[in-house]
Amino acid sequence: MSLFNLYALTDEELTVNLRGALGEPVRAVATGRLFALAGAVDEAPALTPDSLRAHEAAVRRLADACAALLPVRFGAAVESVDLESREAELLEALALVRGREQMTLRVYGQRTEPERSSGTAYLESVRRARALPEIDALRSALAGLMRAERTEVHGGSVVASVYHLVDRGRAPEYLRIVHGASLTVRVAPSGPWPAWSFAPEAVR
Amino acid sequence: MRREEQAMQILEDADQSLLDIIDHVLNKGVVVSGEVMLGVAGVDLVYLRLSAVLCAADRVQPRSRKK
Repeated sequence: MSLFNLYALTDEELTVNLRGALGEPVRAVATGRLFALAGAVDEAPALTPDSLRAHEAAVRRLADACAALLPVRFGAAVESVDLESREAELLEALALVRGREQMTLRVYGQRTEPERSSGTAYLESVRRARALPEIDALRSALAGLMRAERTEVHGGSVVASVYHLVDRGRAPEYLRIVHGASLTVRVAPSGPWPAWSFAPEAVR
Repeated sequence: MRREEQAMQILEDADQSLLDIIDHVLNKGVVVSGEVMLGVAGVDLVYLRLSAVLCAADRVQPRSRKK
């Protein structure tokens, strides 16, 4: 049985010939005002480090060829594509990522236990932790580059992952600022990446 | 080795670049539901374990200078 292995969504026709994770040609499957970029495969890909890297590399090639692209999570091998009910939110997400790319920042530190003296104190301490005030100085330094931010709070020595959208080509400047920042916490940047964390459901 | 164990092995052996890829490729991105055929055994288990692995400082060595 032939399936579409999805790599990404975009709102423009693909004008170049590109290959998917298995070397198969990628085609643009029209669905409403969107195009699903997919390769024909016989079965869903196996979950291996190589297949994950190959999926990421295929998405990266496609991102280079499209002004606006939303990556699709690994493992979406489908018989057909219908995104009509989600078209508005996906077009909005595409507008946000157009001409931009993602930088990922891991923030290290000690996770402080939430206050439990009262319900209000608990919620306030959780809100404060989620806001990550320890990187405010970095946010100020990056203000001219940052177009959007998503954060995800973790529970251990990596206290959070922070995802920033920057205009394409600005990654070296971003990295220079992060490496030069004086912070009370340790941070590790990576990128540029396709805009993985700016899909509507990417960070809950 | 069972397929679930193979999935866990990916996380156990991952270096930082692979962890970044796992975070993005398995944990982010558009989720296409409905007719999706997730024929990839162990993916859910990897989702669950990823956050824990990201938190293991000895597994994720930051490349930037210590602040």
